[in-house]
Amino acid sequence: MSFQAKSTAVMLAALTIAYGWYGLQVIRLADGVPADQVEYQPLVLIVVVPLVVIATIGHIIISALNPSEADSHDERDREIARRGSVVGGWIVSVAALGTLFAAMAELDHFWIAHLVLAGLVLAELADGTWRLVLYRRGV
Amino acid sequence: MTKPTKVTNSICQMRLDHNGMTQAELAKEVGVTRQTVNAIEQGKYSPSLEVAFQIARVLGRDLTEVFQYPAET
Repeated sequence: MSFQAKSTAVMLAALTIAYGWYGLQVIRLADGVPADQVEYQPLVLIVVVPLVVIATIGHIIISALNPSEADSHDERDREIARRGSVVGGWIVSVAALGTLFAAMAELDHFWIAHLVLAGLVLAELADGTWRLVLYRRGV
Repeated sequence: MTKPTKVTNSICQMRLDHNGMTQAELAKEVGVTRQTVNAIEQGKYSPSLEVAFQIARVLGRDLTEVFQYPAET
């Protein structure tokens, strides 16, 4: 597994853990509370901390395990990254349209913010997952 | 699983014929990662023309000796 493939796996794990935790916290806060009264804003900022910590520790570990390959990349990594970004771009576009309709339907800010956030997170997850598939299957 | 490319190559045998060159040594000479050389050998990645020429040059062969493409049937 190349360094970039391992890096992608680390970012997928960090995203899944951090935003899985975020989702559980928001569900807990929203339990029995109207959407416009859910205090989700601090969580949006706080979730960045575990995301960065997990990603940093993960990258330190994969770099330490094979220092000579740390941060190495080449044309295959760039091609795989490009194809992954295309998939992520589609999801961001769909989320943007969903957000547009949510705004036109005058949904609460809570839902609009979470449509945007879900779009961004799902795009990153799809991007990373597709990259790992391509690393394994070939391009 | 079908391979993503029809291009085949003889890099593995040619490496061994080239003083037992390893994937890592070839990768370093060409400027790609060892995993990319491995993917090329397994037919999981078609390199750019530039990398293909560099591989052929390092192995001391012509491009068409190293890489093959099946004729239309």
